[in-house]
Amino acid sequence: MPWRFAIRLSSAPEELRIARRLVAAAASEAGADEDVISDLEVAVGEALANASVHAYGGRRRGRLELEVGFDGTHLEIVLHDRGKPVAAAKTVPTELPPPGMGRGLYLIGQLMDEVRLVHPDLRGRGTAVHMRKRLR
Amino acid sequence: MHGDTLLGLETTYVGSVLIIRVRGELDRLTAPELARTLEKTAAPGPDVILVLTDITYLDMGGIKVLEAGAHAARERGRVFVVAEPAPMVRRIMEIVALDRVVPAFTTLDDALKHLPPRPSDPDDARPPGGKLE
Repeated sequence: MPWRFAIRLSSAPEELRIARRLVAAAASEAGADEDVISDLEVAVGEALANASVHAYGGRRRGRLELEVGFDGTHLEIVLHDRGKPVAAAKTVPTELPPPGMGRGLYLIGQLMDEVRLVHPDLRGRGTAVHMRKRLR
Repeated sequence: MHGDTLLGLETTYVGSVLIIRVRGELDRLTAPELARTLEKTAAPGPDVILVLTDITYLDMGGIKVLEAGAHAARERGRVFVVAEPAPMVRRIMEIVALDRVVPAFTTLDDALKHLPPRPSDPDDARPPGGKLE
């Protein structure tokens, strides 16, 4: 049975932790294996941490929205922030970058089947990270 | 579980080798605790084995502390290895190539065998009381 939900949260570390656990619980509900669940939790946790650091400079009060949807085979996750956009040209690295140059993003790319960065308004603020992974 | 108890660190010595059993979540918030435990060892410090069987979450924050620990150990001519990594830990170590900097052993015995022999005076490495708090 397909389902979809969205949550709003702040960039406070406690809320980021709750959000990644929620995604793990959702994947478990959808019948994912333990190793897939842990890939998802680490990828989403890293995306949340990236948003907190890059969009909001590590501040606690940045607004984030997390959408989670299951279509019967894939889990699709979209994380929106409204902070400082990451460099417009930034893409998900396909080879391991040196420390400080996007290793977290590279890790997300390796753990998920698909990752895309979307900048809805390059003049304005905000980045969306789309992530997708087959559960079964 | 409350934020303060997300990470468990249990330190013991086998001879002059410091063994740290890490439990729970090693992330940006909790990793500084492990960093402090590693920094507490007096120079030149012991060889270190991190037992990562019971790690339930690991992110780049945790990875960076492991890298820093390995770097500090190497500077002092000491060995820094991982034993019994949970499958998720091994997977992440491989993805970010941490396994090239920090060797990972399937068992604690294998890790102990990998360490070079040291002069058998344990006072070199052991803090007073023989145990880190």
